[in-house]
Amino acid sequence: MRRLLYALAGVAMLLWQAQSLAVEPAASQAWIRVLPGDLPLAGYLVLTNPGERTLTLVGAHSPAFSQIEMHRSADQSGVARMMRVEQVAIAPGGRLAFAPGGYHLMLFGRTRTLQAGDDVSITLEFADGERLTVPFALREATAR
Amino acid sequence: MLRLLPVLALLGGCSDNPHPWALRDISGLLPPLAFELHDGNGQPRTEADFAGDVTLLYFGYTHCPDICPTTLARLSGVLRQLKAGAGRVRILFVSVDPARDTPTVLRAYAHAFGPQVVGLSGSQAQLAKLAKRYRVSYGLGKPGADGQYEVSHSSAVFIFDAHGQARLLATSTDSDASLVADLARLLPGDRGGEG
Repeated sequence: MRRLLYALAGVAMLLWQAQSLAVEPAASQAWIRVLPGDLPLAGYLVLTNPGERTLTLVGAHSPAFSQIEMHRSADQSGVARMMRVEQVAIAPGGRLAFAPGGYHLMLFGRTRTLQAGDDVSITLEFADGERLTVPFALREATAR
Repeated sequence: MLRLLPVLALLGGCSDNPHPWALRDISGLLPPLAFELHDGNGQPRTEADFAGDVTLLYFGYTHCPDICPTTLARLSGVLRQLKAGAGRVRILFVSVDPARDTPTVLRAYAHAFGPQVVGLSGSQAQLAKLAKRYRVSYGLGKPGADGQYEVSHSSAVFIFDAHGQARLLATSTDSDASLVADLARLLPGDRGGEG
């Protein structure tokens, strides 16, 4: 009887895990362009929302940076501008690319030396309290 | 054979150039390269220092983590495709944010994008004069609580031939292939070139 209970608990656990995996946001192609000194850096990634509810990214933090903001660059009639954004929504089943020339994480104040070839962890914070820690590959200034 | 020429001109559409450029042709629309700035060693630099080279003029600032490095990474990739020809090309990165872009910062920044990139800046008066010459605008935003501020700047790349004449304008929508092809034509000594 006890064995059966353990088995049922195991199945329940697996089902719960499978379900949570299916609705969790997923990140890919995460990278940071490393610039010299302590210049602010940009972080890029592709976020997908496989769930059935809108996912709202509200912030990010990392032990490698003192501050992280979300920004969006735009080319307005030949003038490049950058604006801070407080939150970014990803529709159910949708994806959002943080990519050069558009949305990016702006990373201020390195807490340690960063070198191309290494990676750093950044934790993304969502409006529903969900957290997603993503490894970002550090790439050279000339990376594309 | 000569009779073919008008036909070729017609094939070129509105342009009377039988070999239209892939990038926007600005020949005659903007004045030749001229500036008084300083480089990453704090040394005064003028257009005369780059005579004989094809130059790419781009305005930006180093605290710009997205558009500026993306543009410079792209240009340095284009130069790699030009192979030996890249030795005759200089990318002039002009910082419009001299308060933060000290020569030391500028030098390290330019170096990160390759030996062909030259970091330049100047006094507000020198920068304003250069911006006016090429009809570009830039503006410094209000500093936030952390002292950081944003800067708007022209996103275009102005391309000058080896004689310092303004020839082409590249924007973020132009392909690498367009840049490579047109720069190769501008290189001095290139048979298809006009430089």
